[in-house]
Amino acid sequence: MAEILVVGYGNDLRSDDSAGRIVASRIEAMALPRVVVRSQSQLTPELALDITRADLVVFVDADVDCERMTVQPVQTDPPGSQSMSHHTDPATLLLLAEDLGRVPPDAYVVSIPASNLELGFELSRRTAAATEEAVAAIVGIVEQSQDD
Amino acid sequence: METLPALPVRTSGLAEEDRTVKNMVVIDPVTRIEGHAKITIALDDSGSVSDCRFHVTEFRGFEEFCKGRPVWEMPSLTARTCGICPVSHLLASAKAGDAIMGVKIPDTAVKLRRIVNLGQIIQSHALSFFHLSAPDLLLGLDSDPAARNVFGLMAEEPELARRGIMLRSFGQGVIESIAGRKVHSPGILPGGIAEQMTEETRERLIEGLVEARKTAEDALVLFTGMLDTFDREVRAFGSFPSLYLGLANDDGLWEHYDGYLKVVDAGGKTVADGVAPADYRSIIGEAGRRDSYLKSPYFKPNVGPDDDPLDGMYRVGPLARLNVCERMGVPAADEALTEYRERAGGVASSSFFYHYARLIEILAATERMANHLADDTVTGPHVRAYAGVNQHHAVGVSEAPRGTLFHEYHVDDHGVLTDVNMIIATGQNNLPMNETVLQIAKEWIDGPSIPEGILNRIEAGIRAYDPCLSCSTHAIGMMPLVVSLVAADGEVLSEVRRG
Repeated sequence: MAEILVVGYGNDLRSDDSAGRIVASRIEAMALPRVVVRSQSQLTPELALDITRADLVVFVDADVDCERMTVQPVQTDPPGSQSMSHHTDPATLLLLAEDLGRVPPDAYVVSIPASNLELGFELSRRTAAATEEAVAAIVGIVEQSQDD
Repeated sequence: METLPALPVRTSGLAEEDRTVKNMVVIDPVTRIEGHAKITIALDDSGSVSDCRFHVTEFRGFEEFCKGRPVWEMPSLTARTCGICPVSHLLASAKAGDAIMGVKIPDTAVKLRRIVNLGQIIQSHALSFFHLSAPDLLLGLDSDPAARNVFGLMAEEPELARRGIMLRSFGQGVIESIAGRKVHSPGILPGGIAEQMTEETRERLIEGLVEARKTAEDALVLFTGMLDTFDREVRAFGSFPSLYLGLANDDGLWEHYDGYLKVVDAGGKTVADGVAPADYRSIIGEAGRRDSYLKSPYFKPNVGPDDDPLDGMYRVGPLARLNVCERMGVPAADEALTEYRERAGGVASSSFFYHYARLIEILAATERMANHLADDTVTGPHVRAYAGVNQHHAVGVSEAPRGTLFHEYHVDDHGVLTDVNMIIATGQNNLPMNETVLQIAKEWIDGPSIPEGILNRIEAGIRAYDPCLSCSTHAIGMMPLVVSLVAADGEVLSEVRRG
């Protein structure tokens, strides 16, 4: 049975930027069946291998450009930056997974509003609230996927 | 720290602090490296290149942030310096912690730390070669920039690209198996390692080494087969005499974790040897420039009070390590090193050979790792020593994929840090990176019209060092490219963007 992959990423020393990783750790603590969680400082190319083994991928990241927590399908057309340094983006990873042989039918990006990216461990109030919403949204996505 | 004068700059988007400038070409930012940087090329009145600077434009200030933290927390904290090579910081920090405690860690812990570092070298070099530089090398430096990336590589060389990802994944798996997590691993601590290795892990890693080694061997064959087609790049991508610094041991073998500091010159003559890591300040000075957040370390014995730090320019990383060692100490990599030195004519002085050296190091890492894993004591239970604060000052050094990494800590009686200094590999390559850009620009640029392929060569010259600016300046980012050609009066004559 293929996996459900949840990838939370961000710098966990940069205040609100850690939101994706906090969500990842919350999801991991729930030990949901078939759910594999990755917590990373950034998206790296070998994640494409994990993606080829998944039926559903959920990327979770802090976003200074969003006003509220959102869940959106990963858009691969246009195909993201297609650029890669030591790290990459969700769309590029999906295309890489496709080149490696298999891309999951469903992939989402959960964006959490962020405003403070200075060095520190505390989330701002809005980011903290959105983090809770993100956890609930991901649990909903996972349950829906397992019902299908 | 000394402050060197900035290259005069006057272009749109750049500081207007100096109005004496000549024509400028600006590459901002540089692509397929880690962090934010730009390149400024100054043209004289005849349109010929007169000077170049590689600027690092982001600042993170990790050293200040660490003050006031307990030393026990430092491996985990400093690993956040970089999401790319966190193991290197973990090791240097843990070794500084070992010295603060005044302990000799168990032999099994040393072996496990060595295995983790070898995994780190494999995964980092794999990304640098297969995904960041292979598009240039295999698709061509003048090929369509829209396809000169990992997807273009997937289309042209799908098996190579796939195996590159698998190799990186193997290296990451080694880190995760021993240190607990791929990124910001919690398992490496002052005093040793958190958990012993299981037999199951050991067997899994031995199994994975088979394909990893085959990939390294095949990549070496591929690279050496095409090396002759890059003759001009070999001659002009940072091909100049410099010093080379790296860790060394009494057996003359390639070293990546322990030992002492050794420096050789362009002729292979040893100019410093047996320098204890704690005495690094006796041979390394640090200068700064107004136009970059990247420090410029230099070899102190070569630089008098009134001299240019350039007189003490040295390189670190794969190229330097292979120049510093006598042998790799494992058969296949030793054979590869012999051919490498024949092709280089002895000491390798072209930064284009960084790619070649990386592949030899990947091969050596697989062989060394196999040797460690064949040792039954690697799964032994005694992996950690315990002690309190017994020293107030310590230096931890290890070889990161990009070069020698220094963590220097001062602590109080409670182990709280009162001062921190980090010297990062990319910083040590700052002076040679500047010289490399200058050499490439002088070789290819003639007048204000600069084809994209030439700009890519300038970037590729930087990419040869695989700089990690996140570490060296403590910044993080990803870069599109903007190149501006600006006349002496500040008018932008042309501009190229990508990304």
